[in-house]
Amino acid sequence: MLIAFARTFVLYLLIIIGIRLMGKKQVGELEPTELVLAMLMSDLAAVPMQDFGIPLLFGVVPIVTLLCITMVLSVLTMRSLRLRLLLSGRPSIIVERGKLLQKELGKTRMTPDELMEELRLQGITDLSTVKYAILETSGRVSAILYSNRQPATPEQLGIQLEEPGLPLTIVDNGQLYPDNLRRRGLNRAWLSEELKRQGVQNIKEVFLLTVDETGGVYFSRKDGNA
Amino acid sequence: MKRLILSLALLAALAGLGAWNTSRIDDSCQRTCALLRQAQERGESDDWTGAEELIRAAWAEWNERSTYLYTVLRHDYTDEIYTEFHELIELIEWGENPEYAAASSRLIAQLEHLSEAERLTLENLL
Repeated sequence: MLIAFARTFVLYLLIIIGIRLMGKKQVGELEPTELVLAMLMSDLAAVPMQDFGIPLLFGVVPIVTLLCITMVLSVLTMRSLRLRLLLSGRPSIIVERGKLLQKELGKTRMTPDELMEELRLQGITDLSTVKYAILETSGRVSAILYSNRQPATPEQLGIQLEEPGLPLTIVDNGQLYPDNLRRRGLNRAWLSEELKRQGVQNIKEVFLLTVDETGGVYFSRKDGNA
Repeated sequence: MKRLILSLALLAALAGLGAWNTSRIDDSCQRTCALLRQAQERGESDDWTGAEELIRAAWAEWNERSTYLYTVLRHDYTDEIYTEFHELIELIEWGENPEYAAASSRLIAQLEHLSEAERLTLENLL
C-alpha cells in the first residue's frame, strides 16, 4: 500500500510536469492539475473495478491521494503567485495591435492556422481588427477587437432597453419549484390563474414555466408523448 | 486554510497508514517464516510430529489475518500462499519428506519476497 501511495505521488507530480512541458495548446479547456486529475482518476478507478484480484484499496488510496494533492495545490496556488505560474502557466499575448507575435506563438506551439481557426470560432476573420489575442492558461484564445471594430451596444446607440433579468424556473416537467415562486413574490393563486390563462388544467401538463424579473412568463406545454 | 490542513492531515494519515501496513505485513511474514524454519529444523532432526504442529501453527498465524491481508495485498499473492500452505500440510501428513523440504523452502521464499515487495525501497519504487 505504501508503494501504491508513493507511486501515485511520484506519478502525479511527473504527469503535471509532463503536461506543463507539453504546453498550453494540448491542455484544452482544463487547467493542467485538473487534466491530470481527470486522466488519472478515471484510469485508477477502472483498474480495481475490472480486476477483482486487486484490492479495492489499491484504487481508493491513489484516488484519495490525488484529490488531497489537488486540494493542497489549489490552496497553495491561490496563495502563491510563483506556484500558480509554475503549475498553471501565464497567459501569452500572441497578437498585439493586429500584429502576430511570432516568437510568442512559437513558444506556445500554436500554428497560425490554429490561431485563425480559434479567431474564426469567435466570428473574427481579419487579424488586423484584433487589438489583442491572448492564449489563456486554459488553452483558449481570448480576442479583444479595436474599439471601432467592436459591435455597438444599445448604450452607445442611446437606446433604452428594459432589463429582463434572470428567468427563474417555476415549473419544470410538471414539478413546482416553490422557492422560486416565492423569490419572484408570487403565490399558488397566481400560478393557478396563469395556468388557466395558458389553457392548462393541471400543473402536470406543464413542461416549462419561467418568470423573469419584469414578470415576463415563458410557457411550454408538455407534449402528449413527453 | 481548513481545506489545506484537512488535505495535509489526510495525506499524512495515508502515508502513516501505508507505513503501518508495511510493518504489519512484514511482522506477519516474519512470524510465519520463523515458525516454518523451526518446522524445517524439526524435520531435519526427524521430529515430524513437531514439524507438523509448527506448520499448522504457522498456518493459523497466517490465517488469523487473512481478511486484512486480502484487503491490502494482491489476491493472487494471498491465494498462492494459501495453496502452498495446504500443499505443505498434505505433504507432511503423507510423509513426503523430500518434497516437503522443497515446498517449505519455496513458501518461506515467497513470504520473504512478499514482505520485501511491500517495503518502500528504491527497487520497489522504480
